[in-house]
Amino acid sequence: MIKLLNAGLTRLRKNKLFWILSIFSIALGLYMIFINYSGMKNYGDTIEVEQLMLNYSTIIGVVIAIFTSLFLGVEYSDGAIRNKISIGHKRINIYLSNLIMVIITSLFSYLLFLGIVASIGIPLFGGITIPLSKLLMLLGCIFVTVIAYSSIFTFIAMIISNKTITAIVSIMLAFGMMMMALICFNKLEAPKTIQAATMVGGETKIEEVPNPKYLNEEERKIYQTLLDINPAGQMFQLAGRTAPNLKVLPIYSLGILVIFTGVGLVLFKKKDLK
Amino acid sequence: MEIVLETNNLEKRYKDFKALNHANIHIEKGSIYGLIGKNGAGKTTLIRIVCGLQEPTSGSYTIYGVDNNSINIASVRKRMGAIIETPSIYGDMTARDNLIEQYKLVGIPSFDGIDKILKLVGLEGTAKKKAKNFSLGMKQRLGIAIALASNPDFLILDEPINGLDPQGIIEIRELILKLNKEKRITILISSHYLDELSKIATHYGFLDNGSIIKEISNEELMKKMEHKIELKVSNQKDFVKYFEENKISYEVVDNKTINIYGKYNLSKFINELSKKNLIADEIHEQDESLENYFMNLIGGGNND
Repeated sequence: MIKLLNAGLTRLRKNKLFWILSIFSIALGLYMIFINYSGMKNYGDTIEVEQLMLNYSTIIGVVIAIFTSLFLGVEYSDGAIRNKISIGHKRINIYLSNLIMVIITSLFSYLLFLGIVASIGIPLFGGITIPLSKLLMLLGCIFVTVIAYSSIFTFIAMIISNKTITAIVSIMLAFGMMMMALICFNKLEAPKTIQAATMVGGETKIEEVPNPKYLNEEERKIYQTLLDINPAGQMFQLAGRTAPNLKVLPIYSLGILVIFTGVGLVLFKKKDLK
Repeated sequence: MEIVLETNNLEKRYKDFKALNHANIHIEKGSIYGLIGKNGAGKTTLIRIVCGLQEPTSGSYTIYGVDNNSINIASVRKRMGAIIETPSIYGDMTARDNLIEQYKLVGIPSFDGIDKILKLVGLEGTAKKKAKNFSLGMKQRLGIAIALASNPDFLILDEPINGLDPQGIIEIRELILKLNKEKRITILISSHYLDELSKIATHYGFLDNGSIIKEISNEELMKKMEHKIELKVSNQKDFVKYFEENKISYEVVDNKTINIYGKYNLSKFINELSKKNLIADEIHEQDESLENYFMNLIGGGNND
């Protein structure tokens, strides 16, 4: 395992995709600072730097999907996996080392972004306005969700041998999870009552009526759970600081990690490689 | 003689298709074993199984005496190097970086041996050129270099000369012979280029429809491929007695057929026989090639 990780880190340092990802993380941080600084200067917006720190979480799923499918896809297309097996590395170690590489890279990307935003954003926009413990908890939850994302996309990349199919499936899944999260969000955000216009004696009267799309208690629980399980849903809640129960999110993420990695290991162990 | 690789009734099924059907091969230490078969005969499947990429449906194999179901099979694979179909190289890295990667994978802390390996395979002058820009022959040689990084005792090369130009073929052939002679590496090489294999192999295994139909040493094969006179005779015993007395290399094929090996002037040979009242019913003169031998083994066009 150590040898695999050592070789993996060497490859990562020489990998163009890794450097593109790093530059993207830095550029995204700088872009967010620039946009918000413009808003502050031109319109007098109040900028909460901690909000900027959390924003990357909403799109990092797509970033991890792209990176993982291309980085691990090469393991199949360039024959690296068969090389590792034929020189005596165990499949379980190959899978886990690849997962660890993806986790390291994904967290590194977020930390790089965070470093840029914090180092430039705090002096520019002022200090953090929420308790540090609260911010650390939110970031901690984001990091655990990043690990969950990594396990899902590593699973796809290790089970599908074709790099192109892996990329398509991963990216579609990343967007699919975001779509599902938005659907759940919209359902949960529906107001209890809506305004309805009625004609009484030739006059239009506007009154508050119960919203038929408002979810009942049972439905709210189901949609909230779906939102909590979905890593994209977790990220939206963490970035918006709207999670009703923050503590359950890492539990769901760890569940995703265990399930996807467990199933992935079993399938990869049985997989006929070409 | 120590056996490096032995398979026992190895079978691999893909749904209803049998890619390997009770295949048995035996590779002796120090040999260059040519695995010959048409496309789709099962060569790559056999190699994939031996390298651990696929599990056999039934049957087993041993590498250096270690059974494939043993917990030690992964460790014994550390004594192997392999190129399966295409070489395992990262296209966006240089030859040297690819070797550094392989050194780390096998756990060699010092990179001192890299220049030596690059020189051995003739890639010492590639400097910063990315592997994806290499010619096919260079990629094959880099693949062999990577396979050599772990200092293997047993090298598996699946179709290493596919797609190479004549110069590339010669380079790979010379490299294989060098590795076998100088480093005493046992080599399993699969190919359907029979002429090429006949220039390097010390042993052959003929694979057809997933089964090894013949294993033969180069020595035996050369004997069979010598100039041959086939005699159809009715008094076989008299002929055999004459050949024994005159130390003529012969083989009794069946109760009517005898093969004579060696260069003989046919008319003089018939004359000599007739002087002894040995009259053959039919006489055929043949020059056997590896290609003919293979086609005869698999039943010619009937198998296509």
